[in-house]
Amino acid sequence: MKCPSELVYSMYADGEASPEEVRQVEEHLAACARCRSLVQALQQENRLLREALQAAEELDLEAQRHGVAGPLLGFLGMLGVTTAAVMTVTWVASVFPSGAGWLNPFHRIAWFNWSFSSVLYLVMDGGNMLNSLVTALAFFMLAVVVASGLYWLFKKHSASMALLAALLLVICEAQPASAVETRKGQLVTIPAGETLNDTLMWGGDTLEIDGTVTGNVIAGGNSVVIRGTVKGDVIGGCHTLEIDGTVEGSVFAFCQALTLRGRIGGSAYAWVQAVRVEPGGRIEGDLVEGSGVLAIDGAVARDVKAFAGEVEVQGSIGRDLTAQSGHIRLTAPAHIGGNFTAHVGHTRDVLVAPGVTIGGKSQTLVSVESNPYARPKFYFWQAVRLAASFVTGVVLFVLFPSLFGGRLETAGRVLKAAGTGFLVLVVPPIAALVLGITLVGLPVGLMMLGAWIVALYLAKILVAAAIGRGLLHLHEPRLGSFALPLLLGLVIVTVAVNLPYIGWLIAPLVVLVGLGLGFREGTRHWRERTAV
Amino acid sequence: MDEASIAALVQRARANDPDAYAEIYRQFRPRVLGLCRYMLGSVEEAEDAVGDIFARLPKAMKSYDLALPFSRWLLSVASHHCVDVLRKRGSMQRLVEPMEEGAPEPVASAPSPLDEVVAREQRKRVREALMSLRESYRAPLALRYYNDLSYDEIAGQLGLTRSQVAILIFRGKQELRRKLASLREPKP
Repeated sequence: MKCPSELVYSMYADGEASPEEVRQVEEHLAACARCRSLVQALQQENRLLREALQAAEELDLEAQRHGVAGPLLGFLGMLGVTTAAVMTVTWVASVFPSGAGWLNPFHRIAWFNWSFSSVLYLVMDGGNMLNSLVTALAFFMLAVVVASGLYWLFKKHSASMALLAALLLVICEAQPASAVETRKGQLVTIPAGETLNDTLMWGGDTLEIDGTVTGNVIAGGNSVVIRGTVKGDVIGGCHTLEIDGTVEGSVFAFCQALTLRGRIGGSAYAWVQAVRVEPGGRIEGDLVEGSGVLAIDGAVARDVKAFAGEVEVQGSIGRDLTAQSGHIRLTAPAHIGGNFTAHVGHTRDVLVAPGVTIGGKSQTLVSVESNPYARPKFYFWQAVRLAASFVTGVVLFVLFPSLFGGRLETAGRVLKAAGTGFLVLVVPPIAALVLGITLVGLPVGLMMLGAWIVALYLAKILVAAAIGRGLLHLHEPRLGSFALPLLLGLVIVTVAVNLPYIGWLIAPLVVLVGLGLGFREGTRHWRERTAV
Repeated sequence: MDEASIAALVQRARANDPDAYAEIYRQFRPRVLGLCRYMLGSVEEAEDAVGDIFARLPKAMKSYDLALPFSRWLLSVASHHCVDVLRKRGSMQRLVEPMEEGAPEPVASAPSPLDEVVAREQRKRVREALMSLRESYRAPLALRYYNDLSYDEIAGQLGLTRSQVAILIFRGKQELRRKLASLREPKP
């Protein structure tokens, strides 16, 4: 008779075979020496397993060792990794062409640019700064969220990964289909009369375009001067960007200085230290920018949204001017076709000289520094934001319950979370910048940036949930018992963040811890599953 | 602790004596922690779970049937909690997924039972290997060889059929053997 299968023997050795199977096995064992020794070995294996698992003193020691050193090591580990990341970035920046040196995040000016714009963005809580850029980001983020949702739905690892990869490919394909010409070098010139029928990607010191480029220009370097024509868009990360000629598409500038003497057919989006639209300069679309100084002597055909330290307008703006800045000056012969809205600190920071024409409404909104707490409107908006966070939190919980597993009871945990959060806070924008420099990585870099900004917003919700649950001693994330702790935590966090004098310090701490929590919980699932 | 002293302790606990609960915690925490470690796969989560289990113990005591040995009951409460946590994590889906009834008998692997001398190092390696298994194998193995539950009891806890449990344990041990064999090979 054929030997019974190993599965039957496994059950037999466990004493779990059915009476019929037991009878058959024992009948067979009487005759088969090989199977006898197999059964013996299996039984011994069971004994060993049992002994290994139940060895009490050894277990105790192992558990204790983890308990003490864990959080401290974790925090040190995070610090170490962050330091390593920072050192890597510094090394990368040093390897780059000298022209891109200013993009080193630790270069003073670039840091100012970046932090200025980022802080503004966060402070405005996602105000509508860059209409189309944000829409594009939102689209990418939506695609990612949809993909993740599908994954959650089907929980089929390989299928959803394939889907995600396909999605990413499609998104990346949304780049111009034309061929790309890459040029590198200290000084690259497209001389007058020459036409480049591709998209130009460039990295180096100086780029001068006197001729024509029919595709886009993606540039990273020190100085970019366009005297000729670019039929596509211009995406520039550089020290100075001068447009004397024509750009028929839009301009995305991340520069020290942007000077426009020519014409931009589309819109201009700038994260820049100084933006000057000189007389003769003209933007046919919108100008959206965050900068230190904005001077418009030329013309902008549509809207101007400005977040700048100083705004001076002598030229003409076709539609609305919305400015949030330190000082705003409109001097003749400035003309604003639409509304003029100024957000400033004091009314004296807005100067509208005689001779200035404003077609629409003109209002100055002064941010009352003195006492927001006295006005009911403040509380109303806080309540609205709290409600929005609450709804977002519940939706997030339904989609990704595992994100909320984190707990904050001990100082060790908080430290660990904060350490991870610091890493998560610092690395993505740097990585996005580096990716953006590599030019092909631009869409991915933008996506990463978008995800990072969203994470900053969600961090507060995670921390609130953890605090609420910790306080109410409800540790199992179940939908019914999730809402109340989240609400409690959100109230606590909102109050804490708005406290006078120290609220502004608490807010970044909350974000740090929240980022860390989210990252740990989000990757824990993945980390443990890779142990297959 | 012998059965009699445990019984006395439980009596005191049911009478709401807080010292009794503290004593129960001292006596039984290591075993509960061990089970949770195996079921959940990480020390951190296990510690969380242990905290929850003992926090809820007074309430759960009300449903404790004195006929059952206390340690067995406590461990089953603990494993229920762990199963809940696993379910929340979504890993319980994968327990059931790949198992269809009437799956072809698994191919016989090379029988290399662990018949070496039982050394402390060996036991540690076994535990490490177990912890590195995926949850669908680890949970039944833990319930069987740490909790000494029967296949039927395991099936009840995990929401599976008896034959599914048998297959998981069988494959789990195969996987365990593979991992231990690769650990034993000298590194190049």
